Amino acid sequence: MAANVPNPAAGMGGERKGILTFTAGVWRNNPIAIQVLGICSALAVTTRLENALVMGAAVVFVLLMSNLLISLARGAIPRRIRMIVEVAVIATFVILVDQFLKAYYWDMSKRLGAYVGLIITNCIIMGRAEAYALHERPHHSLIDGLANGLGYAMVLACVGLVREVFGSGRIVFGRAWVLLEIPGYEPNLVMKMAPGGFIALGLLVALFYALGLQEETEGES
Amino acid sequence: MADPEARDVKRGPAYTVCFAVGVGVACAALLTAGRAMTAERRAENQRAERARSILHVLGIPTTVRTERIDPETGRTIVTERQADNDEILKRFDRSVREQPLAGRTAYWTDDAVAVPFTGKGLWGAIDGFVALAPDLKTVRRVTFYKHSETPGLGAEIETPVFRDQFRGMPVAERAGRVDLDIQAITGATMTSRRVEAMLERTLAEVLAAEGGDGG
Repeated sequence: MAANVPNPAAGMGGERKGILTFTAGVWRNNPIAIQVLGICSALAVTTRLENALVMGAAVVFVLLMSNLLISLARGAIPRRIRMIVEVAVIATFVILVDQFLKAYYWDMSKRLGAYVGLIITNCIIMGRAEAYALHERPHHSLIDGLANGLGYAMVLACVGLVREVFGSGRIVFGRAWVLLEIPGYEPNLVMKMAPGGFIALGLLVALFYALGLQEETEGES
Repeated sequence: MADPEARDVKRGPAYTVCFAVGVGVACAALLTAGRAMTAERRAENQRAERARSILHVLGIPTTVRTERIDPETGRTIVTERQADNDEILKRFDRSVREQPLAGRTAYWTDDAVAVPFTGKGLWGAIDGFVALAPDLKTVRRVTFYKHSETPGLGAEIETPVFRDQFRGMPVAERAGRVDLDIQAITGATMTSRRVEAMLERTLAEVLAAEGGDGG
């Protein structure tokens, strides 16, 4: 599949390719805003900025590890079971993240609930393994994982920020660390509920397109 | 790069099986190590969470207050933070005694009793405690310590806005049934109804058991 895709970075020097890979993940081919993948968690956990940041960090970690390992083993993975191998690797690291949160970040683990485990089914991670790590060298795969993870985290953080500020009029970290408080703000339940997620995410996708950030990737999908 | 299909044919099916087994063993080893390393902390967090919930429902503070006097103005500065796991468990052992009530372990202090309850929420089980006055006629507080409701919707049962409505709620029994009047959460009707049902059932059981033996 990927062999037929025209890759703008093909044949380029390592450094230039690294930069292109990075900007593609973060901006030009942002997994949420341009490809509109993985929006389930982007809608579900973005009621608060802190949740969005932790979820973003979890996805960055899982993407880095899965891209690295799949890329390292790409010559050895039998083609027929490659997807099963990818899922096994991804699931392993997601479960490790979940256990880590349960042990060292209990409150957050409770708030994110099932959504940490659902990173396993997040199509961004398997998508990067299939489309990139399976064909590219480990250091480029690491850059790709980092870039896509940051692209995901960035969108989540924006949506989380908008929803928390407009939903509750304040930003709270941890149990009581108030970063921002609009005095006398009447909480707006719509932003906390599902429609708020769609509205904030939709506006953000529109912004990406309005800024013309997707143009260079035409024909790449 | 060599054609992957041709590569697989050359290696044969035994290679595929061995590779699958290898990946399986490696993943299992990582997971086992991860679980073992975090097991103690996870268990402690869970124990403390339960104790924190019981203390809270019984009206025992779960925060640590420190007071110091500002040397310049002479005013008292009070800071309050959540107690850590050790402090919570110590407080629990000091002030709560376990004693059965209506066929379950209840947690008593001199002026309240916390009864555990459980029931089906929207996505999974909801576990919590309801604290009653010692005469079992008034609800003191309600807490939910374990649930998997939707964050921002059903999970709002944890918020003071929802829980505070239970304070001082009379437990009136009529023909073996308890009827509570609970304000539901907008967008979480199912969760609210089920919470109402599980509390009514629990309180009816408590009253039936206690009324029956004259307690």
